[in-house]
Amino acid sequence: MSPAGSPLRHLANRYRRGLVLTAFLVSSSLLILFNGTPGVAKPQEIGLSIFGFIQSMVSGTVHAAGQLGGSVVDLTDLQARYQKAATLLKKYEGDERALVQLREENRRLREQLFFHQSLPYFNVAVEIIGKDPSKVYSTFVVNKGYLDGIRKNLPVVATQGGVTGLVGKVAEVGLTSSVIQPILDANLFIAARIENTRHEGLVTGKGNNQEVLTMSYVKKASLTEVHRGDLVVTAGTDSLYPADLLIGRVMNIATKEYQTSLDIELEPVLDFSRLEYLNILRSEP
Amino acid sequence: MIRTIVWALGILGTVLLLQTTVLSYFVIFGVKADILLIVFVVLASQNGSFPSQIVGFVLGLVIDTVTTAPLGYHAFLFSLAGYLFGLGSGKVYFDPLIMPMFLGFLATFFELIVGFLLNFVFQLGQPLSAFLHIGILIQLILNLLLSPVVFWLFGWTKEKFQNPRRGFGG
Repeated sequence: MSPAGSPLRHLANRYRRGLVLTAFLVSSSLLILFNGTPGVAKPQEIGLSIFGFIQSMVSGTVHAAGQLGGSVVDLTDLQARYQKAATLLKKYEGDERALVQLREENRRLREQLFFHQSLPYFNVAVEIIGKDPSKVYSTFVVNKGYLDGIRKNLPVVATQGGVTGLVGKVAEVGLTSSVIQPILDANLFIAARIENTRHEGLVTGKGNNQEVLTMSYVKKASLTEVHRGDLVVTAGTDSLYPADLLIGRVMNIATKEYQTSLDIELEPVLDFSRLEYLNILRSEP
Repeated sequence: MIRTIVWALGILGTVLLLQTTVLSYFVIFGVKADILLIVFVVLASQNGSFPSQIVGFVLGLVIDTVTTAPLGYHAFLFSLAGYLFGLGSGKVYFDPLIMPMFLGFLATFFELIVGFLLNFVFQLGQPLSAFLHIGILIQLILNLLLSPVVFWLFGWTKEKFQNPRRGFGG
């Protein structure tokens, strides 16, 4: 050890904790500052590919475990019935139970298939395998990615109770999974119009899991024509989303004297907490 | 220390995976408890500042890569949290209830405040309503209630597996 190096090393050891923290905070800040540049965007794509794969494995395992648990419950139930009635009857009862489950599953899949086929756009059906862990960003991870033809910025829709509505757009694409940015996100802006009056505005979320949207820049002159319950659809003017996809219903209309436009609160047509399957629209097969 | 960091990262990685898959369906009034944050605080308060800030930075980067948050956002947040919550390691007496609840509350509050400041300083585009809504209050309460359970679970596990009692002599 050189005599000159010793005091420096002593200082570095003494303030090691603070120095490392400072290094971490500075590098984090630099990463945030240069976020979006090509060199920084790459690790997110790689991370998503790896984590999405693990997530789909965990989801699959949990799903299988759930099915196994359900099967055990069914078996116990069947055994209890077995003691009360004849073996043959029990067998039929078991078969019938399985049939009901299959019918229910079949009905759901038919609904999904019907929706998949009835959409007037080329689309890919996907399943949600994960949700965002943070409070502020409210994204979904789905089980298909680049290898399935998913590309960044493609629009995403879903159906619930026969109603088809806009979910959001593809924000990131991994090899076998993708991140969907929902319309609830405050950084997603959608050109929209009120369906019956055709007034245009810009719809955005409130940046968290509150299922409320805001529609801004609607001309104040439309105040007498817009009513609660009116439907809001995509305008189709931003070339990202097809026109006339349902977004939400007018919930509340606010206006201030000094503003030239209205602030309208919307209730999304879809219940985002119950979404399971989505459809990603594509411009080509 | 490397062993501590690797163990902590393993545990937090598993919790992150569970939180984004299985636990994301356990919601109360549309809000889910931030178990990852609570577990992180528990580990920081057990392991101390230096390893926790390293763990926080790596964990934050992993979260940043799998969400649409800007790269560095969670890295900043968790490395600072690791440093601050690790300061109490070995210096603060942890009773089974009050201290864990206080730390759970403080961590949630800390995450919000630092998140808000990062959003403000780096102009990340999130509106104030993203940090100030009724769901936050529900999550504060959820985290407050879950913290003692998680603290107890980790305390018990550590006592059981890391420091087994031995007989003396013989």
